[in-house]
Amino acid sequence: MRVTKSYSHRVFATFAVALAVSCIIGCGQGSPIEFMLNLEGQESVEARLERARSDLQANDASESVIEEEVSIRVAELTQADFELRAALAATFGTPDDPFAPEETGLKLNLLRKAAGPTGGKDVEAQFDTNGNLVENGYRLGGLFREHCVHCHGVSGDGAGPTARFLDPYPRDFRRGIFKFTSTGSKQKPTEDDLRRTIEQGLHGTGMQAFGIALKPDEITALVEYVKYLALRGEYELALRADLFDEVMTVFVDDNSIDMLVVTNRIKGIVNNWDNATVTQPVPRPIPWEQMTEADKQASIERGRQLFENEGQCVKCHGPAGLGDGGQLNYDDWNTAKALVEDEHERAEMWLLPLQELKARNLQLGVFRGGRRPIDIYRRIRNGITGTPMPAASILKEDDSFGNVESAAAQTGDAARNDADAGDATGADGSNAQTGDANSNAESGNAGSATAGQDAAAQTDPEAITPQPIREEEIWHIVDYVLSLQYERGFRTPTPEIATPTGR
Amino acid sequence: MRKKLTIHDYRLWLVALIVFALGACSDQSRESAAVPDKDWDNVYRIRDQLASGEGGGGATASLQPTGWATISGKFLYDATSAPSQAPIIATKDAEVCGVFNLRDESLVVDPDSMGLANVFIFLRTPRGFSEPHPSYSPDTDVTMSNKGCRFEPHVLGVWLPQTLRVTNDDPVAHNANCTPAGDSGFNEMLQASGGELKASFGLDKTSGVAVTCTVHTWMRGWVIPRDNPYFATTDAEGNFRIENVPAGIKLEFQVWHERSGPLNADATWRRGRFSLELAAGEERILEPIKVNPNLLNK
Repeated sequence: MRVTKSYSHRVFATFAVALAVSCIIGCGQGSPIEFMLNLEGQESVEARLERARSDLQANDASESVIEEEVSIRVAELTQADFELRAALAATFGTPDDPFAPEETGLKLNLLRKAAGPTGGKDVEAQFDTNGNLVENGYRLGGLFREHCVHCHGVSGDGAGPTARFLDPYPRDFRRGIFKFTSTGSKQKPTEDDLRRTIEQGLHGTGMQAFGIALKPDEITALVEYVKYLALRGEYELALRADLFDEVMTVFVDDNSIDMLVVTNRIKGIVNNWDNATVTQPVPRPIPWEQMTEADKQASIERGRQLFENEGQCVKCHGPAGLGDGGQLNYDDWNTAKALVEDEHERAEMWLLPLQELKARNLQLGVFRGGRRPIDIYRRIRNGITGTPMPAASILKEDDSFGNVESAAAQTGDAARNDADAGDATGADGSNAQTGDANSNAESGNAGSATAGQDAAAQTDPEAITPQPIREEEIWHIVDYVLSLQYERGFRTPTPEIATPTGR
Repeated sequence: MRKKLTIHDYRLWLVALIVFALGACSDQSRESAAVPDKDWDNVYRIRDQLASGEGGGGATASLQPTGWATISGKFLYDATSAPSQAPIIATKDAEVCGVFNLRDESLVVDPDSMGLANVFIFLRTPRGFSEPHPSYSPDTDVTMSNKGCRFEPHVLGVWLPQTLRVTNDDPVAHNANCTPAGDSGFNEMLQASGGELKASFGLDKTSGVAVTCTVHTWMRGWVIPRDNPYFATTDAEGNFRIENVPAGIKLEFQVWHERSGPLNADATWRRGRFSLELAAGEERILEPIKVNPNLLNK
């Protein structure tokens, strides 16, 4: 009896473990690695048909009309799916055979170094039927699948097997949005930006520094491949919108895809990447190293004022920079998810669960985009693409509203610090008030709106400071932000600044 | 005697392992983008056309309008009473925004006329048509302002060559965040009482792109970049009017509302579109278009 029981236990255990193992590692095996369609947040075919049906029902269409319309839609959607796959494969190839049209400027030899299975793979030379050489043999390097794919996924969807255990999630490249760039507000990254991220990692996230593990030329190949996945992803989204929503304009007479659309879409996307320009910061009036201790403290203090008033940083980062000032927010990859309230529906539409975004706690001294002053400067100056962090409102030369301000600025910094009660504010404030009064009269709810202005003026007379920030003043905010981290001994702020809550 | 299953029993762990493994296996609706082997001819055809720069819709003869016409109409909410707009509680800067009596603006109906506001109607550019009437100038800016802690107007069309100005008339700072797919968009702080940003779009759309404010998360406006200047948003009474529309060409209009997406207001419309042709000098007034409330139930 005893023997039999232990035997049955063993059979059960072996069977169970085998099943579990085959489930975990067995999924997806046996078929070649392919890119996945980006169906995230997309309306499913069933939902599209259902919507067409319910719209017609609302308009009292007869059942036969509805059925006819549905069958037309089914045919169109099938055709759209066919053309989307074909156009994607034609323009960007497959994970084991990448391709890039000339317009993209991507280098095929670099892509091949990053593409292919882990450990690499030799591809033999190709000959046509007459025995003429079509293409030389080459080697696929397999770098992306060796180093990146567990988090970023084969398609660059940021939903590899490890992704759901990470906060923040790995970057989904398919929107072509990258957070930490040296370029202007909402612009694409440069290749140097991508290289920096791969080499040095992103502090405080799951992105590690690959600068030690990989050779420079390998990183170059990966930079190219990340850009390739981003272009491919953006192209897929654009083409899907064209094919599934704009049917009429995309198909030509013989019902095949309009090549003009294919090429225009690629050009449009590549243009955005080509147009990105690096923001060169306005130099500091005096380099930090040459400033006296009193100057440093003054700069930090000025930064605090800007942080709390003109810069409006407190609205999200909180009065102590703890990241506790704002409300619930999401990055661009999660905003659409947040709009879907039903959790199950969300799970069907997106690969990863909803993830909230908190404003950075500036006291930790961990800055994902880098902790050099220039990094902080760029985050403040240009905002962070893909997140709610906006670009600072900078005083522009051609700003008529700003000219008054710059006149005030020439009278010196002392005057500026008191500018709350100064001439510039007074003038601007009154202009704005009269402007508002006029428009309120038009809009019809003049009573409540005017009351609001009065209430605001009474409760908080000095909190409102309408000047945009002068570009070089961003350095003060940088100094203040860096001073918030206590461990930077050489920048120890005075006690009263060190506890900004007790201002 | 049968032992009670406890946490120390390895069988419990095995069952848990299997459940977990099955869970890991049932991945969400992931669909491979693979092209079936038989369809690769099509792939290579597109790739060849791409390389040679040929193909396309064929040489479409340029379309010359015979003249210009005007089209106007009215959208009505087809019910006996206007829907109520849910109040919004200002969770930030309540001392300023709280007094504006903010309301949800996703469905705005005039209770007297039952006119449906914020319906966006636009002309889909006919193939081969390029020159709009000279009364439309790319040099005129369009403005969306932050006024009373909401965006005014709520729905705004922008012709691609035009510049969009987003201004701030409120005594609090706002920001305007707009992320159109495939386009750069903008996200900038707008200083209190006078802040302004300028933006332009590179890609036309057929549905609204949300403009939001990070600070005041209830704020939501819509912009729709278009590649021609023929569009209108219905006013508070549901009226719209588009002038100097090309005549003598088959025109296809499309209608969008934030609740419905493409608005199929009529049984003959598909994807929110309808077609008509106008004669030169014609002043066409469409029959009032009644919109079934079921179409606007989100």
